[in-house]
Amino acid sequence: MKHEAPNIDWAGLSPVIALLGGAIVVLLAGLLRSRLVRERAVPFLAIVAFGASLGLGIWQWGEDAQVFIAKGSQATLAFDELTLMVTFIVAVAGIATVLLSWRALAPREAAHGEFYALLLTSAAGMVAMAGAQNLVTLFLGLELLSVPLYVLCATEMRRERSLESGLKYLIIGSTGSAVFLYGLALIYGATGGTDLREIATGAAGEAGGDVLLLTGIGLTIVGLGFKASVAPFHQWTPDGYEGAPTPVTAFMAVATKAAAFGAMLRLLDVGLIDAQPDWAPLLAILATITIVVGNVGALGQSSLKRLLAWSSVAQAGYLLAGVVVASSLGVSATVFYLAVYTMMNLAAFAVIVARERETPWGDDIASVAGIGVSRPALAWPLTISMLSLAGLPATAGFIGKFYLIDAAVDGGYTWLGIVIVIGSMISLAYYLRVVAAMWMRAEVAAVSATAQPRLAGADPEAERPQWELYLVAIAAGAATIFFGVIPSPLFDLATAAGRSLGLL
Amino acid sequence: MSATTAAWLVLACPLAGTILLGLFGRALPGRIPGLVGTAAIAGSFVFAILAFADLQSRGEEQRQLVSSLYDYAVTGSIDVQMSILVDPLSILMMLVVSGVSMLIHLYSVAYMGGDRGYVRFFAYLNFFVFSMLLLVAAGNFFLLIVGWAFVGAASYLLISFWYRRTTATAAGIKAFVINVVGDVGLTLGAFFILKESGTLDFLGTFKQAEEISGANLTAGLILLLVGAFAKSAQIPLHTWLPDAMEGPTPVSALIHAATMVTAGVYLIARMHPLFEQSAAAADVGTIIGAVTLFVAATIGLVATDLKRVIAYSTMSQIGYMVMGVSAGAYVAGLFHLMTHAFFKALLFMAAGSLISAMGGEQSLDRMRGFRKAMPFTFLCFCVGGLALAGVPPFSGFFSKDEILLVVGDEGGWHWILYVVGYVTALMTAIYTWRMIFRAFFGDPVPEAVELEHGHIHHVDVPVNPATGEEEDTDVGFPGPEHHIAERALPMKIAMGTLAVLATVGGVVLIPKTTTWLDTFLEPTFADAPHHDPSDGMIWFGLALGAALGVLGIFIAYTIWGKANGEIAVRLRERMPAVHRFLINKWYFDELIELLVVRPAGWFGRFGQQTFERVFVNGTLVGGTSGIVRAGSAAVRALQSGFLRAYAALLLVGLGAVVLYFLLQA
Amino acid sequence: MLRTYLPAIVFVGLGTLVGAIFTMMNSWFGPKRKRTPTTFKQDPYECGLPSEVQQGFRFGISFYLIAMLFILFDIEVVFLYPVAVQLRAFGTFALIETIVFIALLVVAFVYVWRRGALEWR
Repeated sequence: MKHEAPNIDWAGLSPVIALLGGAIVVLLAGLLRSRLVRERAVPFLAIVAFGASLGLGIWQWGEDAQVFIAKGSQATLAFDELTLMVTFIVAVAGIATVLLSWRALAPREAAHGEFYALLLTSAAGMVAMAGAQNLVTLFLGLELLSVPLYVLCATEMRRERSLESGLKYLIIGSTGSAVFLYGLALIYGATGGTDLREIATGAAGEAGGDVLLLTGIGLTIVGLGFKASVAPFHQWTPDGYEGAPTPVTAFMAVATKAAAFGAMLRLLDVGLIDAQPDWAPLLAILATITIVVGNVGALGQSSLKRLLAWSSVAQAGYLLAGVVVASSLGVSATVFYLAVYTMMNLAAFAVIVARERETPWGDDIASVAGIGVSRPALAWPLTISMLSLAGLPATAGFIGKFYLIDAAVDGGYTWLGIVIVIGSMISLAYYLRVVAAMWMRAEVAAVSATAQPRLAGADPEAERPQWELYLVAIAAGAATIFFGVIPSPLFDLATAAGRSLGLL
Repeated sequence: MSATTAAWLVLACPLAGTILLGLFGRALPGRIPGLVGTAAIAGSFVFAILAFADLQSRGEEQRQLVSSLYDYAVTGSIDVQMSILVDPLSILMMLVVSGVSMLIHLYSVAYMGGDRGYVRFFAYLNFFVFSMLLLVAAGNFFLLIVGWAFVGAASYLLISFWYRRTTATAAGIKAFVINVVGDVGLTLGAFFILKESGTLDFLGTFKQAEEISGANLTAGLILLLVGAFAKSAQIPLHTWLPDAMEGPTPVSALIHAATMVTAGVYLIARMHPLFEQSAAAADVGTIIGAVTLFVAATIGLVATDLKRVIAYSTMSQIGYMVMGVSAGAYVAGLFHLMTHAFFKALLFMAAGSLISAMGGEQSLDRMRGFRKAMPFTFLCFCVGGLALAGVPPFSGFFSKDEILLVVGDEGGWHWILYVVGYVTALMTAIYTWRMIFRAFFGDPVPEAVELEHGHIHHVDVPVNPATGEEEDTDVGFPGPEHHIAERALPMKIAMGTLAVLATVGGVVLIPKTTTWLDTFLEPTFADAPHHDPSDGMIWFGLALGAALGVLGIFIAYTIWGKANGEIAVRLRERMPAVHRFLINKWYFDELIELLVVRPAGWFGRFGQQTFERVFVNGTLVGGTSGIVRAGSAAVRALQSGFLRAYAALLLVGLGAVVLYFLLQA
Repeated sequence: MLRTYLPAIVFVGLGTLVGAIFTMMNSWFGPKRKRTPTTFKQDPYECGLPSEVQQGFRFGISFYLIAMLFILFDIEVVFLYPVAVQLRAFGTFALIETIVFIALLVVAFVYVWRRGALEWR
């Protein structure tokens, strides 16, 4: 019996290899005795790995590499423009996360090698998930993404909140994964294939009537919705975000979302496109619920991380609009918004990390009070980020929302567009509160009898501003403005990603 | 220089000014930042004139120019370019906006001299002018929305300029919220129109105007009107404007009288090819404009805060414009927009000077007899008042009558509007001169006497005129010094120029004499139906307008000018119900409170309490906060109820999703 | 269609059966006593001294760690068998795959070793 070896496009796979190879190198480098190596070289190597992945992704742009082609079937992993866009987002988020956690407590407690290796592994899972054209690969990617993140959430091992966050994420995450897997199994049962193309063929005749398929789709949406914090599967988000070390939160917020939406777009818009009339209304309803729940939940939050968690729920709702319409415009709009979302959130989280280390207020809104005067270099990025999240013009968030609404209107979901607009209107209330705190309130005195205990993240040595945090905050803030004024480069990328799925 | 290049430079100047002042303003000494800001706007004005000259030198067919800087976002369905539309309408708006802004900047150089936020003020003001110019120059819906939102943001920043004053921040928030409602309306309206026309470009949309009539167009236009009403303070979205008077007086003059609030009028005029396809939407605009002009004038009759009287007057006058442009009187509406910008800015400046002389006090009840102490301010106030009252030959006389003439010429039920317009014209004259008689005539108050002796009144402890709270003069509150026009040359120049313009501004369109404005705007409104009212109607309107203006002044004199206003007191006692109704502003605030704010507040509390408590805290007995307290019991807390509750909710959601599909199948 | 699941059902049934049989074999083949034991008989030691070993006895954490590592490496090595049997059929590709796999195992081993997980504490 002679087996044929699968055809592997190594060049196409290179972005993932860079991440996984990097993980191994980082893991081993972390074992060295020298403190210098552990605290400087390891993060540096992690950045190199992310950077290499980014560079290789750019090299592979437009190649539409199909890796892992076994005989007679579709490639299980496609490195088309959609996957590559997710790769870029993940790599950029990864670099930012490494910078943010360079002098943070979490890697010191959990050992540097492990921390960054887990980060890189999770990133590889994200890329695999976004590129998966096969249900098995998809699930593999999901787990590769999730398991390291469960651990990363709990890396501040001496802080109960961090442990709590990790445990909660683990348990709810496993539930989500199980549901997702069950859904995949049902889809397989209904269509007889694990390949997206086979599923599309199988689903073509079945749509509308097959209970098995429809239940499968429902369970799959729930599973992915969990990862993307879609209400009502979002409950882990505020606790998870708040408890996890802030750099990890930043990574979770942006990269996981990108991967989940990448997978959602591919699964629904390629594999299950013929069932679109069945799932689209449901997804639209979920989007509405998500927008309402996220924005209402964020009102009155005093913890910035919780606020951003609820805000990320709301943003997931906006993003769903691009998935609902199942058009190439919708895909582009989703991808565009994901990229924009990455920038604005990174800016915000960088500022939160910086203030966590400088003040005793942790991530409370009091920590940014009055920084308009004392730390304008931090206040501006956070202001830009908040305004962009709220969707004010000349920021990337505005054009991103505009694009999503356009996609919704174009796809016949005008009412969903209206919901987005109303949602962003509500969101102004809590975003502007942060802005007002920065510019119109006096700095809260650091020494106070009622001061909360210094959070574990606060490093007594790090009273001085740390340049890498400023770098991330300012770069992300500047990018938010840049792509708000000149969005066409990003538009071109997003449009290419939109075309890659072969939709109308 | 071509018109488009000049138009881009019109936009560039204030933007450069904003950035310069924002980044390096603090390094500049004394009043230099103010002069830099003024110079930036002056640059704008010069380029606007150059653009105007170039446009006039072209043939009539080539007076609609589109210039694109770069492709903003070009994809399958959206085609947005960074493009401006230069045509007579936008040039007229640019000239008015940059010209009046320049004078108000000049005024502020002295007026805001003592304020600690001097640099910030000019940075904001420059930003506002940039936004407003962007709004009027926009060549597509996208840039229009951008400018629209920027203008709202700038307005918010300037109303809350004294950000430590609680009433100012509250007013800023109110303005912002209502403006955001407007932004939402505008955005959705644009999408509705996009859905029909397939393009966001103005000219592209107008070209297909005739093909896209229908329910979607009407819905889109009514949504656009929501935007216009919010920005132009038309009922029922008007309540923010009187409160916006919390901002510094130059801000009131520039934003809440001369420029920003006219954006709605501009929008309707700009969209006229669409409004002509949808009579229903146009009628909505006409009626709301008419209602606003009447209601606002009645409130203006009783308001006691000097600036709020002028604010209600602004609402009323913009009501005229909105009614005019909605009813098809485009040129007349814009004519009134221009003259109103002159005389209303003038009135506000004069009011600012007067308020300074009172040491920050704004209540008409406390002002009396400033005629001798402030001759120049008095003169300016009178010129503005005559123009507003519509007394010939001042500018307001011609522009107001022009609107009513066209509205009356429409016939049918528009006759009611014609009558309402003239009745309100009488009220306008009365409330305008009520201010003048109360503030400048009668026995001088101590402040006026002090001023006559050559000293400006200064209070020992500055207070918030609205609430009486004590304040200091540091950043975030008004500065320690006050400036009046009689003592400050920049203020004098600005007010003098506007007084001349308010007097002779009407010359551009005098019935049967000059048609300059008509001819100039012809390329923009070429396809609009023409009105040709009969001679008799023209003369009747002019005579009636003049008579009502004079009559109104006479009535005001009888009530408030004689015997220190005793008749006014008697009138108030005779009709307490009417007075209460009017002084409470027709209970609009209360109505909105009841219909919108309370439910919204309930919703907010729901979010904060019910939602958080049930979904987060409720499942969190011994949870997040409990863990901190419980310390060693943490592990138990981790495994207790609330995780289960999360999972349970997940399953409920899951069940709902699956059920949905099962029902589908 | 349900027939396709028949092997699965057979598998589950067989598994249950085997498990049950092994559990019950104790009572079938073990020494039997007819009479019910007295309470003394039920004591761990009939001499009456209380047992040192409590019911909630905890094993050292190292035990679990080593056990877990053993299972991990053990199972990973099991994967090598099928490849070894069919190596010729799979060709060079499988050989390279296997080498990569072993290399990764080595990495994991080095990690475990250097992190001190193999030291008994």
